[in-house]
Amino acid sequence: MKERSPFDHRPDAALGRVLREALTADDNEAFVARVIAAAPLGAVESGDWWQVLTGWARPAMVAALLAVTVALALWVRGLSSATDIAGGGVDDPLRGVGDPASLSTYFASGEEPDVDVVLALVLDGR
Amino acid sequence: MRTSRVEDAELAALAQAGDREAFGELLARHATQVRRVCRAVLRDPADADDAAQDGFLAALRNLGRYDPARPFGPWLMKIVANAAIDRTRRQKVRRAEHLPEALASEAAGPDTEAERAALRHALADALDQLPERQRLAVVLFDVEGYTHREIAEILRMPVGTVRSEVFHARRKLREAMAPWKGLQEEAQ
Repeated sequence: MKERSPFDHRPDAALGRVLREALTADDNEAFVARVIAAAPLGAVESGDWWQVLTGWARPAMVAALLAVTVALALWVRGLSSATDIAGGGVDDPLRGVGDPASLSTYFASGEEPDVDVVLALVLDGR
Repeated sequence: MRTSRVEDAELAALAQAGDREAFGELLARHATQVRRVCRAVLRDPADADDAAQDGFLAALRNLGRYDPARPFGPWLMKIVANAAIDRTRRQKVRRAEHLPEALASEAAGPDTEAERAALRHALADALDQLPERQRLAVVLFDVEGYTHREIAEILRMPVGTVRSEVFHARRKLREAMAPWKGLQEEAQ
């Protein structure tokens, strides 16, 4: 082998081969198995990602179901209160006076006029 | 098992997430190199494998710091070289004890296989005499094919120093190998 310059960029193939032969270890598989056994890896195996996602999906689905139930309950409650308002949640002033046919009938009844009743009859166009 | 088309960076990301198979694949790809470099630093094969394991486990712990835009090999080798050097520091006494007598009798054998074994052991002895940095530099350059620049990064030294270390290591190793020159030429 020829002596080379320290600035030689090329690897020395002959020296490299002899060194490789002297330093290369066998039983790589046993070494790999040994290191894997010592590695603090999680229980996740390749291809198990769907299982992981399924694991995450279960509590997420329960949470979503609860949220939908609560939203539905609130919506039903809101709907029923709206129905209450539409269906006479506020007292109808005309009921108390026997629902007169017109403003003149109401005045002719001789009762002391009530502002609410008069207003209701006017708005009703009677 | 994944194909070799999967990049080291991708395997590193999966290994970091705890994928055992990905870590195994990374190990299988780099184990030969890593073990060789450790053997260049630590003469005892068991110590070298312990250092190689230390290096791989340290790399696994530090995968979060690996920049996937850069090659994985030099990054791993930097960690491995440190692990090997650390172990050398701790086990200098054990290293000094190593020089099996059986090797001398092997070297005296007349057949080529015995001579080749003797050459390997003479080379290992010569490596042992080199300073740690020279051993690593010459093995990374002539055996593993890293560039001077990559070795400079791995060993944290200037590129010019790497060139000089490789040069001096080569000269000493060639001297040690001179008695087996005929055998080397025969092998070529």
